[in-house]
Amino acid sequence: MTLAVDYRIATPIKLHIHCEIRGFTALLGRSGAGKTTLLKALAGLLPAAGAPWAGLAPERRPVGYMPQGAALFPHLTALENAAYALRGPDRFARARALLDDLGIGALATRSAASLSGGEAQRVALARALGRGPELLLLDEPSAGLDGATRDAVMLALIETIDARGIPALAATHDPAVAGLADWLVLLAGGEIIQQGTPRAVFDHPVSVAAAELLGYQNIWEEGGGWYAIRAEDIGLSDTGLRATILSIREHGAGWRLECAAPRRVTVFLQAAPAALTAGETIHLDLPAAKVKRLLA
Amino acid sequence: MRHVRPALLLLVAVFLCVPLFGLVTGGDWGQAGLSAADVRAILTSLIGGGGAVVLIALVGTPFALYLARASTRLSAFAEAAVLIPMLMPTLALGILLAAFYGPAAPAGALFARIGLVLTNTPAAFVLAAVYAALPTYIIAARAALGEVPVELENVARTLGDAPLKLFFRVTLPLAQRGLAAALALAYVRAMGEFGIVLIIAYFPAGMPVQLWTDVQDFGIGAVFPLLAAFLLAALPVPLWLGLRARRIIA
Repeated sequence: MTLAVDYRIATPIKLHIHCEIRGFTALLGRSGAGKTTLLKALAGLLPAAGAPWAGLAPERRPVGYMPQGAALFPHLTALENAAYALRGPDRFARARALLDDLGIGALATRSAASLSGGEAQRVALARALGRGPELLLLDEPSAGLDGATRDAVMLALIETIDARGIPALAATHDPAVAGLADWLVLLAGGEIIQQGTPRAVFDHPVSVAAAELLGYQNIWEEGGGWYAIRAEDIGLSDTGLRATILSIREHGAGWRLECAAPRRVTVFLQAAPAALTAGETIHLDLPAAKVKRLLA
Repeated sequence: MRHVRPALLLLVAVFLCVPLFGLVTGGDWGQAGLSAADVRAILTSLIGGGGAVVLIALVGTPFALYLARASTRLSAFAEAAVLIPMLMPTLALGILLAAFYGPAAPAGALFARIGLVLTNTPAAFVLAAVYAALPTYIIAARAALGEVPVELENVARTLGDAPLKLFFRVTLPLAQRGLAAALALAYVRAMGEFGIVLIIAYFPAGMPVQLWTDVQDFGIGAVFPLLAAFLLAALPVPLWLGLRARRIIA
């Protein structure tokens, strides 16, 4: 389930990628950082130097590529899509078994163009699995899914892939999706800036760029060092950091406070604070264990 | 305004269809029939034009696919190469082709030495039709192929298909309506070509040249049977394919 990647890519974005893929691995990066470029290079669709498979034509690589939005062949049925990479007289029977395995046998005769986002993604997975891949590449797998069912669909997808023992690399810009993975890789500035289990990476971002990618709302410089803390880890106290409330708005079940201390601090409070108003002075508690020290 | 718009539409549509009324009212249908020369002209057009269309599909499709996918300096040059013969008045093109492929010209003499005489032969007729219709086909086919998402071709490659195989499994099925319409357009151009054939393929006469000489010899009224055959050969199939490509009919 582990695959080491060492790739140098010149165009369209200059990348030097050195990382491991362990189980279902999330590749977290901003849009334009080169996530799709790396996936395409691994699939052989863009030129790259390095290991594995560099220089091999895409049709010769043991890779299952799932671009954003599933990209099913619209002139084929779900079954014909699933059978695309299969050869031999029993190809449709095997494709049918693949669809059944993924719990979508009932879709077999449906036209690919008529499937929902989640259904299309499962068919695209079946089609990619038919290739017998040693690596699955998924570009923004959560993009076509609606918010309410997104996490459930993503978890099911990850479990399905993990159960088959095939390493997968999933490009995403969404920290929530990254948190579901077995292994997390951060891409910024043309290289991998951090990798590890999601828990380790989320708890200990190494740099400012990493903290920004992981969704840390508060990042600041103090006495020559860089620090970060999540908005939900900050509380109110009687004595802590003195701050003026700039604005208050509802945020999910709680409240989001923008404060000046005098640097900008964002705070999420779970319980509704009694009678806090903009302009008021409060004291913020930044627990030392939750403040992360960063490399620049 | 509410009544003006449909009235205007109707007026323009009728104006465009006026030639068809001429087919009913203008001819001297009573005494005229098809002469032996007319039948030869029909066969020349159908066989020569059909052969040209096959050549055009074989040569033009890969070229159009290249133009649809590449954007390099070379492809910009290729675009210009397609436009030049298409924009050139056909009579001028015919004269220039005669100057190049004619028996007195070096290229023409070279072809003649390997037994391919390219003026006033069946081969010359096909050559004229190819020059008339190839650019039209390439431009229409390029638009049809350009609508096939590159991402689908990429996926097909990662699923094990080499480029030629994926063309037949993905690109062609997805572009088939547009390609058929492009081919129909090329066929119409090949059938109707007059300016080029007038210069380099006056013999064997296809339908347009035969119509022209018949009009000279016998007058407008006498040519309607051949004219009808001409329209029957050129119009219905392309019309059907064109409407199908525009998804007006299934």
